[in-house]
Amino acid sequence: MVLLSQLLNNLFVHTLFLEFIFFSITFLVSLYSFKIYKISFKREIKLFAISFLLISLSYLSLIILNTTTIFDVWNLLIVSNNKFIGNNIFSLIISSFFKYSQILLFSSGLLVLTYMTLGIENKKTLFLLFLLVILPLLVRESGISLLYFSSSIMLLFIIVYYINIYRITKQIRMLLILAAFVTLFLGTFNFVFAKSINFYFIAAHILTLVAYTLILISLLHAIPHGKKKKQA
Amino acid sequence: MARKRNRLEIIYDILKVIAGKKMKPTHIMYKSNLSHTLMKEYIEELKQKELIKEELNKKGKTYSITIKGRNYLNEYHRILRFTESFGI
Repeated sequence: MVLLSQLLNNLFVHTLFLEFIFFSITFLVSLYSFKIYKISFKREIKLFAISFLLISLSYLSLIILNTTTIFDVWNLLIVSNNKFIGNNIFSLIISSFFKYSQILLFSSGLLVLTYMTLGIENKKTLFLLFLLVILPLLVRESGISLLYFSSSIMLLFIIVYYINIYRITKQIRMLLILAAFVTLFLGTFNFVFAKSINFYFIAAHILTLVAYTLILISLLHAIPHGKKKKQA
Repeated sequence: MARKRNRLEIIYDILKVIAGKKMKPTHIMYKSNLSHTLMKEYIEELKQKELIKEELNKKGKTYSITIKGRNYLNEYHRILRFTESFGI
């Protein structure tokens, strides 16, 4: 029992650590994108910034959710006869809220990014797409898995966009960002099957880590080094 | 044949032409190599985003660059690096 609880505790702590990395990277990308948007006023950059902000908030929700889960695991330890005494209703409500907000924020972030790649400027279309994306959550019990599935579909659209960009520009750094989104797609798709802590859960986290590492490398490349040259 | 400029490049070219001077629309059009329709479109956008300001005098309209516009010129390389890195 002690070994199992230690194992669970370690796994949650490692997952928490990974999710903190995901949150940090996506938040940094969002911050820098907003900074560039303030100078350039380019609409696509604003959408890019908003999408990464939503994705970073989804990881923040996941961090809060997993932190409360760790406390629930500790609760199990102090209860006698392996029975969980006194369901903490408040804890249940909080964890449900963060569980759903995590996937909603993640899907919304990907939706905004997909909308950016479509190259259209229509808020009604965006709203319609949003409704279509969240519909599974309202209708079905397995809505969360379906949301991960629809997130994977959106990632496919984003991958096609970057394939086209690479075909036009032939820039190697486009391959980097393309690889990031392909890996993120594989990671997100694994979450469809990760209903508990299993192989898919671990694979999803590892793939997501690779994806965000590639995105971080792209961000570091985007930040100029050395002295600024004043032109005007 | 010259490559087609994207939106960011055109804005950069217009601001570079205007920088440090007060220019009439026709001069901007010729120096930044734009059609009349496109020039009007961009000028309106730049005015809206406060990258340039319009002044009316006896000789007509002139445009000059604002602090935001100068900032765009100074940070253009940073914008370019970002858009190239993320394919935006």
